[in-house]
Amino acid sequence: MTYFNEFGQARLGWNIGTPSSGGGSTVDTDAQAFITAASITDSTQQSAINTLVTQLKTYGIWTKLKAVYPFVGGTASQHKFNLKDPRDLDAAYRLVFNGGWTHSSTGAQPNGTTGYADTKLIPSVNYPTVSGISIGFYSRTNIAQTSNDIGIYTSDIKALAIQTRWTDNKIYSQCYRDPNPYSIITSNTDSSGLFTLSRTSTTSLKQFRNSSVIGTSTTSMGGSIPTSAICLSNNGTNGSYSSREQAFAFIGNGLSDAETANFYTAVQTFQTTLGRQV
Amino acid sequence: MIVRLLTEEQKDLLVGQTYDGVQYFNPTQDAEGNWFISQEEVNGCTHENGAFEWIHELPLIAYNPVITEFPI
Repeated sequence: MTYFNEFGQARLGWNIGTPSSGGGSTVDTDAQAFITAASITDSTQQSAINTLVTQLKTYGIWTKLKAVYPFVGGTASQHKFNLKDPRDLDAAYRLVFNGGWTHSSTGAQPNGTTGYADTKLIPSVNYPTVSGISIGFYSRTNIAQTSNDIGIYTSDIKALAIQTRWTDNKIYSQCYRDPNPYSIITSNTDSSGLFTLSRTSTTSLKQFRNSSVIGTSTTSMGGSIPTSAICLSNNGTNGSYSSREQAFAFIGNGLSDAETANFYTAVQTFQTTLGRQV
Repeated sequence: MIVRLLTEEQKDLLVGQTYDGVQYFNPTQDAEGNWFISQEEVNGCTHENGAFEWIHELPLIAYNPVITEFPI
């Protein structure tokens, strides 16, 4: 689309305007597709989405992500959309919310008893090789509880999960298990922030909080790839419902340390623009 | 915490059904095998075409969760 800005200059892109600029700003086409699908009308939210997409593209991370849930807009019908493919379809990995949730401008908070979201993204289908996957979410809640925040469990050897802060004040991270039941176990007394679990090879698994590595595993994998869809706020088992508020979640290829640091910068900028950073 | 007790038949009526056009009921079993739904699901139900008005009459019980001692 061609438009003319306030200086009479021809520009390519979409002209949504902003209160601060008086109009004329261009919007990334992927950002605009999400804004349209999710009916995002607030200019600050529109700008935050646009900046997020452009930063992820600048950092070379955008193409490594398969599902991104920004939880912007404040309602279930807006929070369900995948930024990478904002069609209202299971095949687009649009979230299906189940049980009790509270949706607001700060994110989506499950009730800890029945609430979870189905991503429809199945690791064995979408990531059939074992050498690269990342999952993560942005928690706004610091609480110790027996819960799972993102992942799927289909058997002892088919597990992918981040249990951010168990009641023993440890984080348990699993990615197609090692010979030990858990791939990474390390102390963690703060379940708020961006938690990213990234496998970049069969012998390299890292758990990040924000941009810092808090746990690693170099043990050869002993498990196999889960065959059910990844969930948010649960791992498919009763007794693991989380009540931590999610303000962002994603699934993608394995991310390097540098990519994870850049990813955190982009996500934290996004949260700060929306006034909900932790 | 309080939740709403379901019979087996009531559970079957809710499985796969949306309570507000976007989100779905998730009948869950507690530690004693009782089926229940949450207050959020009951209070969030929009009752399209008068559906599921009966959930407001469900008995209130204390939440008795399945305890997971070890992360899985």
